[in-house]
Amino acid sequence: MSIIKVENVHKTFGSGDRAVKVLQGVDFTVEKGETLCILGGSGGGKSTLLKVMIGAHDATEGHVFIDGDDIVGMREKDLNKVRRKFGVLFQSGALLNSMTVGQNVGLPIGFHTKQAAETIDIMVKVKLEQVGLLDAKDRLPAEISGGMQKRAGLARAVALDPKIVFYDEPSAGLDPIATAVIDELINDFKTKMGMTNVVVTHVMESVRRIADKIVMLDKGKVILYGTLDDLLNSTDPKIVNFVNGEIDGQGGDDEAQRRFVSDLLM
Amino acid sequence: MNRVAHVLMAPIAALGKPFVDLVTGAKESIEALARVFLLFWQTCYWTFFGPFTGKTRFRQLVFPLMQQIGVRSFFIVCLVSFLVGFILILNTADQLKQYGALSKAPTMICIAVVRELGPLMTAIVLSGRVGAAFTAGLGSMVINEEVLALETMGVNPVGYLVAPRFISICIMLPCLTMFSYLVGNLGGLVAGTTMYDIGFWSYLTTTRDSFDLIDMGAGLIKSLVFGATICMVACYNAFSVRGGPEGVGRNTMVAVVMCLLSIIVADALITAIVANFFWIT
Repeated sequence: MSIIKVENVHKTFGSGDRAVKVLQGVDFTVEKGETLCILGGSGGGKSTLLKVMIGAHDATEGHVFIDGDDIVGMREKDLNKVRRKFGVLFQSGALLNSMTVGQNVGLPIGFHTKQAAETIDIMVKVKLEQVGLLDAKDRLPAEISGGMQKRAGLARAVALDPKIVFYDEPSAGLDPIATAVIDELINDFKTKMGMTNVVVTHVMESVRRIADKIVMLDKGKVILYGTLDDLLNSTDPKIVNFVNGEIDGQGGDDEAQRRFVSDLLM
Repeated sequence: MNRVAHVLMAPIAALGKPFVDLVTGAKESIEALARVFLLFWQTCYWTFFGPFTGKTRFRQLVFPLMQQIGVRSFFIVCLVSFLVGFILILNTADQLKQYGALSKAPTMICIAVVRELGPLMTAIVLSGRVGAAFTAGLGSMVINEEVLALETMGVNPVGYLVAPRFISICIMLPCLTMFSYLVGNLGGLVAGTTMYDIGFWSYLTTTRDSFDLIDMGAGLIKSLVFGATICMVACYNAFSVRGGPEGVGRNTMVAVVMCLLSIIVADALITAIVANFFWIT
């Protein structure tokens, strides 16, 4: 049985003349213990899809099943129970700046378990050790680098040993080495702890390293759902351009955009 | 035919656009007010029932916030209150002297400070200092996805972020108001005794005799309402931040203006009610 099932999801912002259709009939499933990468150009609907999957936005239409529970239209109280099953790593790390790294990681543990402070402290150390940040336990987020903030955010996301971890652009703003470290951690969580990963990204290097399955979005629609080989062997010009990193990648059919980029490069 | 229709329709069209804008603006204002009340309702729930759910961290959060709101605002509140008392004497003592009523100056200062200026000036200082800090701080958390991160961890942002601020300001604003009573009268005392012929002990005795518990109670109720208003308006504006750092700046400005406006409106309402029951004879 699939651990995540996204069924005919539509998401529209605004109404009437101002309505913007961001997702249009998105369908896919994620099996337990696999890593799914959601790809696409900017404005393709990746982040919105992630927000629908974590219950931050309600889908206008369709269903999102997380471990069997449909979270679309779910009451906050019930949604919070489902949220215990997953962790989220946000693009910026989203650490609470007023707390130390250790306190950030301990926050979900303290809220959702009845553990004593000493036990929480041990659990925090274990999680920080997993991401190689034990030394930064007592430092504030502002005192550590962007890559370290991401790793701290990752330690917080897996603090309660969730079944699923969602990642929103985990390599955004990182250098290639820090990106590789994050990718390695994602693979570790899958192989050593059996976690299911859903990664929103547009970095092909990361996709090659971590992806079992791929969903590619273009203007809110799925244009590819398959494996890494399916992506690499695709003949769809949009996909080929995206994979090769060519300037007229997604939305390459837009003549004005092509001309604008050509003018810039001249 | 088309030209005639165009000429006939032009005034209606001209009237139509502002009318539609007016209706849309009114609708948005009512929606915003409804959201503020919803936030207030949720905050009350988390303040009074939250501790029983075990999902709050008031002990860790409230005391640092009380220090930030109360202790760090103490000096500026005292300074403003002292100067208000001082200025009031300077502006009124001469007029009272012409009617041979200089000895009534301490009574006037006491009533003005306790009923009105103490709570109002303290709330105005806190609107600028604390209201702006609430909106800027929480607004930055919104754009950095920290609030969304709390939600996905199953931590209610109202219970975790708003309720401790609500408790802190509702405790500290009345405390600061009490100090402003004291220091405001002290300002009047300094001006009255050094610049006019009012004796030190005479001033103190008159102030003591003019001091009324109902006035003080009304002032403290006002300060409690002002505290709740500042917190709700500031937090609502923080949670409705859109558009990055520029949005934080914009909403902070809006929050301060809305706080000041709401405080004055609340003040007028409470004063009218209390005056109707106690002061108008």
